[in-house]
Amino acid sequence: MRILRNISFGQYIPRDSLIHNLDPRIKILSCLAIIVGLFLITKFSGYLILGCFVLISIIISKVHPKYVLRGLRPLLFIIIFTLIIHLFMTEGEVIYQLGFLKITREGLVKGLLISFRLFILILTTSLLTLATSPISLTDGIERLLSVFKFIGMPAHEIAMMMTIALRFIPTLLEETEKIMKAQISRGADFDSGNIFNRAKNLIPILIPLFVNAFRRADELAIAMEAKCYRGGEGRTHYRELKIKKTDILTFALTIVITITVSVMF
Amino acid sequence: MKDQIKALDSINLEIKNGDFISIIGSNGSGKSTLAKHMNCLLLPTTGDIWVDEMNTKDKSKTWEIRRKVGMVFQNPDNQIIATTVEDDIAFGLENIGIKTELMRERVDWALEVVEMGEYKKSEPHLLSGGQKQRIAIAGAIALHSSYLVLDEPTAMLDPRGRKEVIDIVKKLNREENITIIYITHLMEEAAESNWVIALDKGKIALTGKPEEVFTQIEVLKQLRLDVPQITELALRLNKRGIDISPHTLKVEDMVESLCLYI
Amino acid sequence: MFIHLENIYFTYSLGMPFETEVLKNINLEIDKGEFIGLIGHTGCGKTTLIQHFNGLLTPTSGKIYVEGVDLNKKGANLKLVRQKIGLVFQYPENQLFEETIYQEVAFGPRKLGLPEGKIEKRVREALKMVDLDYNLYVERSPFSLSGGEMRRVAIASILSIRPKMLILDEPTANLDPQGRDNILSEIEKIHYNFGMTVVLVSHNMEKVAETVKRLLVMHRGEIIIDGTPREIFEKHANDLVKVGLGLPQVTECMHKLKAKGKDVYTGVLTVDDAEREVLKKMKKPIKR
Repeated sequence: MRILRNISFGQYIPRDSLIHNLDPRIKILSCLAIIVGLFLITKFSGYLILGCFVLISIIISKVHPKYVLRGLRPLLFIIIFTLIIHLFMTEGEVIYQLGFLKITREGLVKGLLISFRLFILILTTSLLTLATSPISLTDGIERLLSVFKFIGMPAHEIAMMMTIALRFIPTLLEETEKIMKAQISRGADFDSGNIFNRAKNLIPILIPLFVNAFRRADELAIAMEAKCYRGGEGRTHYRELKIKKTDILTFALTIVITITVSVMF
Repeated sequence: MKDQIKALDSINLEIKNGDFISIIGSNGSGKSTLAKHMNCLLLPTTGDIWVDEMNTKDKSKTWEIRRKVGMVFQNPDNQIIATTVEDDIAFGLENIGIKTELMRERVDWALEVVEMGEYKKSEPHLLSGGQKQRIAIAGAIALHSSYLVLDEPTAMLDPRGRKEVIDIVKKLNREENITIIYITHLMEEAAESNWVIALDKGKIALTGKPEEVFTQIEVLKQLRLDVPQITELALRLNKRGIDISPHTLKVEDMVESLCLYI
Repeated sequence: MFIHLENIYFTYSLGMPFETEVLKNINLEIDKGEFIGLIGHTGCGKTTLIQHFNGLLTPTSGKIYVEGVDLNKKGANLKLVRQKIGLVFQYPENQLFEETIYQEVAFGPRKLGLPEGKIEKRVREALKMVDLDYNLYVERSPFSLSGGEMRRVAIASILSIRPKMLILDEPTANLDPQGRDNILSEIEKIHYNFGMTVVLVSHNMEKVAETVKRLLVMHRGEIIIDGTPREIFEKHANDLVKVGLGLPQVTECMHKLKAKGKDVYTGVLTVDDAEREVLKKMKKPIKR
């Protein structure tokens, strides 16, 4: 737990790269475009081309591959799981059999394709969070959502909630650790027992956390009011988002490649 | 209503520009309640509060009053909402619609004044308690408040953090001419102010310069507040016929006086 | 010997980029029935040190023995250790969660597997030790209390497991003078009336020095001074100032007098001490 105090939260790795310096809105939209494209593509070569595009972007971002792989690790399970499901569950020409488990050619092809698609999807979103600071991301999301204000989208409120949540994650983690230690010191046990027992054993941690969280929220609200907060009306922005030439070119490039590949493959 | 508790009882108070006053009292004396009246967070049941000739009951003036009266609270964590220091200081400025270019100047200035310039891009959870409170102060003064109310700002800090905060507060009063209203139950902090008001059960029990208030040892003990050791010693020795001023507050003064007798 | 620490070293995040050595070369013996104050600035390692006493943390190197049992040996019964050593964290009111105060104080004994009859006895005992009237408090919700009361309930919830040693981390944090004096006198009573070994961790030198019988001063992970409060104020005042821990006003006063050549005893803790010393050393007897 101590480790988290020293490393910045989230996956963000600060670097001075083309990707890092792009407007967050462009990055979010490009990311979405690529993801849409991934779902339209049906052939392997299409995935390969888009995958290379993403890989090149990662290289440009100057973020060391080890960070990318670290982000991949927790999701590796899902990729392998998907592969296995498709391998064993697809009907078709059997190429290998072990007892009652059959691996079909179609299953192999489909499994590999979909796993690969998932792999590139994760790479793309990883790149987004590795190369964009949390504030930048929330700013970008707020501006993008503001477009929908006319239909009642609470863009500012959503962004405010995200910011506050991000700000308090490390604090809440620390608090959780403290509460756990305090309860262990009076005999609580979080390691033993079946699933039901373990869930019940979490109550001495969850209730204090919730109670404290509500109190925090109350105090925070008062502090915000004292600093003249009155909702999103009339607020200006400390961080300016300006679309530069690089942003437009990058976005254009992304869209062109994505559309071309989706159509052709 | 039967269950009403009189938190504040006939308080009459006048605070002038440039003052540095401290409000002391034990828990339940009403000091926090009084503080929250100064920026419209609470409104009086009877009576009026005027800030620069604006009545806090006037809803149309609430935001202007809050701009003028900055407030810092006890819990360092529960005042910081942004993910970096500079964004948090800018929060208040964003709220009142300051233009972006001007915001940067104000943020930099506020950071300079509280001596946290090198932490501009830091994340709040990596800061110490004293540093967090300085950021809270910066966030308040960035709005160019003329008054700063601090509600037990050091209650949750260690001695080092307390010193950081009280030093910055003194500097704000001395150099930026900001009027300070400092709520505390710590004598050594109240001793730094120019005027002390002691509350007890919602009423003003004592008022005067620090050296006048702290020598009222019996009253302070009744109010369940600490008494500076040196002042108590001076009073006791004085009662025994030794010619030491019962208004002695500082160790150096006591040492000088005692040198004549030992 | 109750607790014995031998050459304890502790490093956080060992092997990672941000590893920090928090405890260095700690050698400490605590006997049954002692009343100890552990003083130091935030970051000196005092909270880390006490977490070793009940096995929450394992030292990077060195040995800890609690009543002769090596805590780090494989199979060491940590549950038993945590029954012997009651650790009360800072702001213990933050750990309250039960519906009633009874349940809250019963939590510990229940986890120990005691039968309900015995548990009630423990709850009554523990609440009495923190001066809370059983009948008035037992059915109330812990969240309906004042801050000071909540803290006492939290302490009671540790006392109900009948530890042999009570460690309190900053028990006076964020309390006003009255609240602080109340808690300290409760703790004194617990020590003197029940013979409990007590360790008080604090950065408030003045009040703790008046209360405890032995002071340990920590700085940057090491125990730099170990002695009775009077000894420390008399002989180690300079060290205290050097590491940024202040002296009580009266102690500072005596030292400054001594520096001016006056022959005064500098191991004073309270205004009473100072008054007595001044009257003793008066040049001329006072005319009355």
